[in-house]
Parts: sequence; C-alpha cells; structure tokens
Amino acid sequence: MRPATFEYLAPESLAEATEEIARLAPDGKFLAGGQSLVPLMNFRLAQPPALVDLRRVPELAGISVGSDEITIGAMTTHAEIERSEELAQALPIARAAARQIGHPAIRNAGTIGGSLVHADPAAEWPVVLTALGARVRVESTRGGRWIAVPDLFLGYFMTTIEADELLTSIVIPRPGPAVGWSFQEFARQSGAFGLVLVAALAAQRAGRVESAQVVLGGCAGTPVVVDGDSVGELARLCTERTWAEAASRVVAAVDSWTSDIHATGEDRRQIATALVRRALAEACGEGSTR
Amino acid sequence: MSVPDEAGAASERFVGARVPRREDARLVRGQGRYGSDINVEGMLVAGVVRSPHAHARVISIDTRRAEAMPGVAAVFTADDLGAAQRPIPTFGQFPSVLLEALRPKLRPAPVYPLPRDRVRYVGEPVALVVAESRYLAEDAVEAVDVEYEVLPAVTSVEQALAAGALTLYDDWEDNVALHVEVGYGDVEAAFAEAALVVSERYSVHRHTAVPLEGRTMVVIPESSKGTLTAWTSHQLPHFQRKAICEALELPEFAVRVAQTDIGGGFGPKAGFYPEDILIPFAAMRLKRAVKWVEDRRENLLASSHSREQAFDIEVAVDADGTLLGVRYRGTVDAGAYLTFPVVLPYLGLTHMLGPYKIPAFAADVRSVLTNKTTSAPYRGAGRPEAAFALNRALDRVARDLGLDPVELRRRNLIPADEMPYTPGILYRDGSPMVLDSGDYPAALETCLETIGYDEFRREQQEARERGVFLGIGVTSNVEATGLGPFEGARVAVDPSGAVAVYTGVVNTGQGHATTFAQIAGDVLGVSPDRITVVTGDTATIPFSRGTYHSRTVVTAGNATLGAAEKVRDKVLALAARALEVAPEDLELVDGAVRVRGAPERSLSLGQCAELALPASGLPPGMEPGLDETAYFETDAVTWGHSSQAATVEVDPETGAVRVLRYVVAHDAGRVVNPLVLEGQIHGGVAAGIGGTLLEELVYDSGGQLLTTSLMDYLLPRAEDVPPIEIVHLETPTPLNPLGVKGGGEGGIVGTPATIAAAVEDALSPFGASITRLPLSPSVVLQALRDASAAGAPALAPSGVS
Repeated sequence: MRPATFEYLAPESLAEATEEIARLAPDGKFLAGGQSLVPLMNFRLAQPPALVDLRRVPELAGISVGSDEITIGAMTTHAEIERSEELAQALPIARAAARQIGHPAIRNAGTIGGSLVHADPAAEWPVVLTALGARVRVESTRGGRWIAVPDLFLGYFMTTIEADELLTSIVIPRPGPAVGWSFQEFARQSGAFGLVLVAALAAQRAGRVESAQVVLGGCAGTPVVVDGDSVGELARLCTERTWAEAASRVVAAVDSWTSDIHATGEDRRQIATALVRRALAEACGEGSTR
Repeated sequence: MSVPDEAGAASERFVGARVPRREDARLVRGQGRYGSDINVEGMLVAGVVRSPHAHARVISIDTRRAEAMPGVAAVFTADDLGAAQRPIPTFGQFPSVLLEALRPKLRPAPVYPLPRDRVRYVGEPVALVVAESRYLAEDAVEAVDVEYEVLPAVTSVEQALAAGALTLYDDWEDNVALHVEVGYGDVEAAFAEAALVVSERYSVHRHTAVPLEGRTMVVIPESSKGTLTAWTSHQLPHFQRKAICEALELPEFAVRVAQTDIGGGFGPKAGFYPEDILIPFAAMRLKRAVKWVEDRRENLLASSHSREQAFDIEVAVDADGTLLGVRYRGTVDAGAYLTFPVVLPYLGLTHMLGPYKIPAFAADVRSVLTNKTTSAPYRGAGRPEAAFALNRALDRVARDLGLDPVELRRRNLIPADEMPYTPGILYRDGSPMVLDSGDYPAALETCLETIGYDEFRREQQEARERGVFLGIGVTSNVEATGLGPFEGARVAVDPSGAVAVYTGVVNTGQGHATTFAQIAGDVLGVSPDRITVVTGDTATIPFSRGTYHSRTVVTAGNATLGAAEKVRDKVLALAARALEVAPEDLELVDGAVRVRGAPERSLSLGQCAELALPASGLPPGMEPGLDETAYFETDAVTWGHSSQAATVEVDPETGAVRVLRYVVAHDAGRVVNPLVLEGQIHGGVAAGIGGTLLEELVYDSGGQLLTTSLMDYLLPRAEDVPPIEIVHLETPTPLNPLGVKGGGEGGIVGTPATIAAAVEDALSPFGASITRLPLSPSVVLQALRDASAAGAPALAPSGVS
C-alpha cells in the first residue's frame, strides 16, 4: 500500500495553482485534504503522475458569514466548519453534518471542497449543500464560472468540473429564521460511510409549512432531490403532519436504489423511509418521532 | 496487597492483586519496538506478488521486467526455492490417538511457499520481490508478468459440495478435506422419545482477527557463520524456528527466532504462511537483512480468515425442557488449504456440548475447500461458532415450550456437585474430555443478578409501550483452556540481584510481563516491578509450544512457579548454610532472604547468586548458578466458563442494533491479576461485538474479496462497545499448582450467542428469528420481513406517526 511515483507541487497562490494544473494537463490532480485521493493512491487505484497541493493557496481558506450569503473556502476543513461558532449560529445544519463525517482525524484533514469534487453520493456535503441551494465557484486559466450544487454531480464520483478547473469556494444562501432543519444519517457505525443521509429544510408560518425540501444521499449515484409537483405536495403533507405519507412521496423520487455489501436497495428504501419521516417531523418542529 | 502470612508477618502477595500492567507505560508512549521499527544496515524490503484470481493455473511467470528495475535486488519464484519448496508445516494436527479412535477422512491440502502451477485464492503469493524500499518493491510487484489460465471459482460450500463440482485438487473426487464423526449415548432413542425436537440451520459468517499490527518478519543473516536471527510477530517462535530450519536445511542452533513487541495475535499469527519461509530464504540467499511488514490490505486478503461455519442442528428435549440429545452436521468453509485440521471443526464439536448435561450426542463435521483465503483459528477458534448454534437452538426450544430461556438453562446446566463431569468424548489432544471444575449454575445466577434480569423485563415492557424495542440475551458457555502438552520457563537471579523470567510463549499483548512477574515475585519475595520477563525468544529457552488456546497462564504460569520454586529452594539452602540456620527459619522478603524474627540477619538475592557461582564451595550435589528451568507438563485442559448477558435496543425500522449493557460472570479458576483478566474479557467481548454486528469478509461470486480495507471491513469502535461489567468467580482447578485456567477467549465465546439472543428477544413482538450472523441492518431487516411473510405481526408504527 504505497503509491506509485508522482510529482509533487505546492503552489502558493490561486493563479499559480491553476497555471500548474493547466501546464500538467491532463496528468495533474489537485490535492486537498487527501482523505479520499491518498487512500486510492495507496491502493494504486489512482496513479496521478503529478499532484498540485492546495494547502498553501490562501484564496481557498476561510469562512465568511454575510447577511444574505455564507461563503466557505474550498480548503476549509470539516473540523473548522464543526468548530465555527459563527457558522453554527447562521447555519446549524452545517455543524450537524460536519460531526457525522468520519472521525476527528479525518475531519481535521478533509475539506469541504475536496468532498464536493470527490462526489461520493454517500458524503455529507453534497446532500446538505444541495438542500441549501448552494453554488460553487470554479476557476481555471480559461476564466471562472458558477455551478449550482445539484448540477455539479453527474454520478458516482463524477462531476461537471473540467480537469483544469479548481473549485475555490461554496456560497450558501442564508436560510431565514423560520426555516427548520434536520440532518439524519444512518451508518453501520458512527464515522462509517452513511447508508442513507437525509437533509430536510422546512419553512413554516402560522402553523403552515410553506415549503419543504428534502435531499437523500447514499441512495443513488447522486443526491436525490424532491422536485416538480412533489414540492408543493410535500409542504401540504407536512402541514397535515402526515409524515409517513410525506416520506413515501420522498422515497418515490429515487429511481434505482444503490445496493452494496452493506445494504440492499430494499434495505436502503426502508431505512430512508424511516429517516425521511423523522427528518421532516424534526424540521417541522415536532422533535423526535421515535 | 499486603496480607498476613502464616507466621503473622505482613508480606506482599502479588498473585491475585490488581497490579497495573508494567508494559503499558512503554507501549503507550510509543516506545515499543515492533517489526516496522527494526532497521539495520543494508536491509532490503520484500513485497509479495499475489494472485488476482481466485482459481487459476499459473502458466508462466516472467520476472525480467521487475528484475531490471532500479533498486530491485531479486525476484523469486517457486523455481528458485530449491529444497525450501516443500509443504509448510501444519500446526494443529489430529493427534494419533484421535486418528485411531475416530478414523476421520482427512486429506492434506498443504500450503507451499510459492505455488508451482496453481493458485487457489485471491491474494495467494506467487512471487517475492526484494528491493531497496517498500515503494520500489511495490513498483516491481506490478512489473512481474504472470500468465494465468483462469479457472471457475468455487466460492461457497454449497458450490463446493454440489454434485460434479469443480475440485480444487485435480485428483480429489470432491472438495471435502476433512470429515469426522463423533458421538456418545443412544441418540436415536433420545430423539424417538423426545416431546419436542427443534431443528434449525444456524450459520456464522466469515470474519477474522484484524490485529492492529499485521504479520511482520525481519531476518538478519550472519553470513559468515551461516546463521540467522529472525525478529518476528509469530505466536509460536519455536515452531517457526523448526519450519525455517527444515526449509533451509539448517540446524536449530543456527536459527534464533525472537519476538518483537506485537500489536495483537489472536490466532492468525499462530499459522504458518509462505512469508515465514520466503523471508528467511531471501535473506540467506542475498546475504542481506530482509524485512517484510504485512500491510492492511494483505492482512485482510491473505492472513487467515475464520468463523465461516454452518450448523444443521437438532435438539431433543422432554416436556419440561430437559435435554435428551443433540445432533448436528457442521460444515466449515476451510478456504483454499487445510491448515490446523483439528482445530476449527473439533473445538467446535467439543464446545457444542457447552456447560449442559446432554445424555446423547452426535456430531458430523466436514471441512470443505473453497477458493477463498484459508480459514484458521481466530480467538475462540470454533468455540464461539458452536456456542452460537447451541445457545440459539436452546433459545428456540424455550420459545417453543413457552419457557423462559433462563429457566431452560437452569434445568440443564451441569450442577456443581457433579464436577468433574465427563461427557463421553475425547478432546482434541486425544485425552478424554473432562470438565474439571466450576459452578455453572452459580455463574448464571450471578450474571442474572448483576444485569437485573427481572427488572429488565419490566423496563422492556414499558419501553415497548413507547415504541422502543429492548431485548435481553443470556447464555452459558464453557471454554477449554491451557492446552498441553508442556510449556517451560526459566528463572534466573544474577549477582546484581536482578531477577529474570524467560519463557517461550509470546506476549502479543496479554500482559505476560506483569503476570509472570507476579507469580515469580511471590515465590522469591521480589516485587514484580523488579523482575524482567523475556518472552518468545528461542535463544533463552530450548523448548516451547507458544501462545494459543488460552494456555499461557496455565502452562507458562505454572512453569514459572516451578522454576521460581527451584531457585527459592536453592536460595534457602545456600542462605541457611551461610547464616547457620535451618531453611525453615528463613523467609524471602523484598529481594532478600532473612531469618524469621531477626531481619537484620539477611542476605540479598544477589549475594546468594554470588554464593552459587561455580567454584564457590557449593554444597555437594548442588549445580552452580541461580538459574533454573521447569517444564509444566499436562495432558488435560482446564475448563473455564462464563454466563453472559446483554441488553440491546433494536430499531425495527432501520435494523440498527445498539448494545446497551454487557455482563460477564466468569470463572477462570484462581485469578493471577484481575486487571489483566478483565482486559482480556473486555477485548474478547469487544471483538465479539464486532464479529456479531459489524465485521464481515465479503466475497463476490468470482471469488474477489470486497472488503480489503477498514472502510468496508468495519471494526468495532469505542462507542460500539458498552461498559462491560465483570464478576469473577474463582473455582481453582485441581489440575495445576496455581489453580489457574485461561481467560483469553472466555469473553468472545459467548458474545455472538448472547447478542443474537438479545436481538431476537427485542424483536419478539414481531416474531423474528435470528439464525445467522452478522446482525447487520440488512440481516435484521430481512429477519423481520421473513417473520412478516410467515404471518407474524408486521411492524406497526404504534407510538410513531
């Protein structure tokens, strides 16, 4: 379990980083926290000829909480998100999700940007950021562009980011004070990959659920979003407190359930049904339904 | 720690005291010296080329590309090995007594250092690369070109036993490597007269030890002398020396095998693997030190697997639940080769009797080859599997009779006044199986009282009304420990007064540096922290069996006692002469021998060692030196036992199982160090929880192992293991002077059965049956679906909206 030989570069600015990757194309790969890429390299499942380490790029660091939007630098670690009091005030679901990621050693090294571009459908950030309606900024020597988070993911470990592009930051619209939330993750043990993840947001006014958003992770190749006609229907079912019915609407959005050595598709469907019910109830202020 | 001795003087007694483990301060500060830490001038590092196929013929191996790479010293294949290419010795053979008594069908399926023409599991070594670093070695491993003719893979015992199945050996008519039948009593009559017969298949899945540290070996040749030193993580260094000597055609004096610090053994490090021969071979051939450290992927892929066994069991009882007979057919998935032929099947069948009175018994057990990693002993080694099947079947009997499972056990446990109890079969060493001592009913009652069985039943009822499903499981189990035939220890005092204990058993983390020092310390009147314990080094003691079968405290512990007593007797004789008193008037206290009642008249142990030097005018007949060796010999194992109870919460919507409490009422005879024994039980239960809920080695239908990292092979973590409550019952065994039994496996023997019982109990409102492991969410949810399909009440989310 030793990686094959590779060239190692450690640029000290964003411009330098994108120039290096353009120069190396298509052989270079960005290294963020290394919590996914390095194991793949140790197994020699990935053998990138060159790594461009992003740890010294100052433009990729930091959390900034504005009145309308929150910006998180791509190289912000899960632990920094977990520990940020300001972020926990503005976006408590972020801390809840961060705490579910691996264990402390992984959270100290792993980054939010690295997690997004790795595009593991069982990872926390793709699910949560999809639910929050976040967008990401990508830069390359060809220029920059914005990508809405749901549009980032093509399938298992595949994104719409080009090989020479670098994800630099994530911008999250700040949820209003009346938006309830829940993050549920079912894993075989804490720190293990989630079998099913659920992020739920619900905006309520005067006892009526005006909008409800649920995103499922771990169930298919990309996060599964409830959309179209189901959105209004979901809000109505939540208003009526018919959680089980609401949950069955949500799980119906999954076309083909992931099946692996840890759980069959049928298991995932069953677990997701329970988790969505609990998540919606919690997001709508019912507390635990167990 | 101070108790008055017979003379009334305060005197330290170390055996029985909670002496903190002396090795920990060094190990937890990172000052251990493991195989990885050994680096010597000019050392090379080995990498192993492994088969990517579960079953294939090896057509050709082209090493030229690899050999030409920078930093590569050599690439070895089977053709290079010469005399070393011979079957690797197999430990755990059927003794001749058993062979003659049982006449098992037994076909050798030995491991060779490197296969000449066929590979039988993914990960099987096919060539060895030796290079300047592990990086370069792994680069070269990728450059060894092996041409295979891929054969269909046999990946389950069902496939292996099917009519016309492909066989792993061309000249075998089937894949059965071992078939043994054992029994006693009139089984047919027992089943004919039974009021109830329960019949079920229980199966345990493939999982294994996964020690923190993989196998390691560093071989340093002393080329000019034709000798070598092997630093090793092996549990049996004296046997490893024998294997090396045979393969390399060296005399025993030319090979020193010595243990490093070891990050856990648990059985897989007692096996013999190709690397055990290949690394010494490469070092001697290249005349340079060679290191090999097994990485995690190799550990999961190619260190032995274990546990995969199915039990088709029938239990006959009369109307009040009294056991009349048990019969079963066991099928062990042995993997690709047959190593330790007697252990997994035979330990399983002897432990199928449990602590229960079973008047008639018949076992029919087979070990079947498949194209998976070889299966071999892992902590428990057949015991937890059998305890699972037996206890599950007993719980089923209780359910069918409408009896509390605890009450069923009360009616069938062997009572204390029937000890020693002889069921009527031979143990694996060929001696009659005799449960030597213990109070099984007392352990059960202690366990129930500790967990609060009746209170829990009330709590369970209240929880159910809230939609929370709690369960409790209680099992009783035995554990054979202290297997002979012998173990040795040497105790030496030098003129500085330093005391050392040498024994060939290996300390893989059990606390030998503490427990053996306690035993010697009591005899010599020396504090354990002033006694050095050296384990697992062939240079320090000529004969040893090693560490396995929860045997070290029994065998090496009593040998230490014997050797220390020999030293003490010599000290007393020498001091009596020097101080001009009778030996009976002397006592050993604080590293000195002194006259009782006149402590100023004393000699230090160092002074006694001076008196014992050659040419010191020793008494007639006395050999020089305070350096004595004793061998403890035995042909009877000691039987420890425990009752265990677990409470769990099961979420029937997700299949999640959480263990809430775990109680072990454990009898390991006299306890040398309760702290150490509790550590053993904690570790066993934790590993048992992992094996029951989380750990599984999963193969696909082509024979590829899918769980080759700890991302997919889930080990228990701190939060998966509840606080473990232990009560020691101490029934000294009459079989050895210390009265001790082993305790290394007692924790794990009952864990799968106990947790399975608790989960089934939690799901009793749904009528779900737990018949297989692991209790993953998938298996639990499937058990609920099966119960629902069979007409039991489906999940009614009452209490949930």
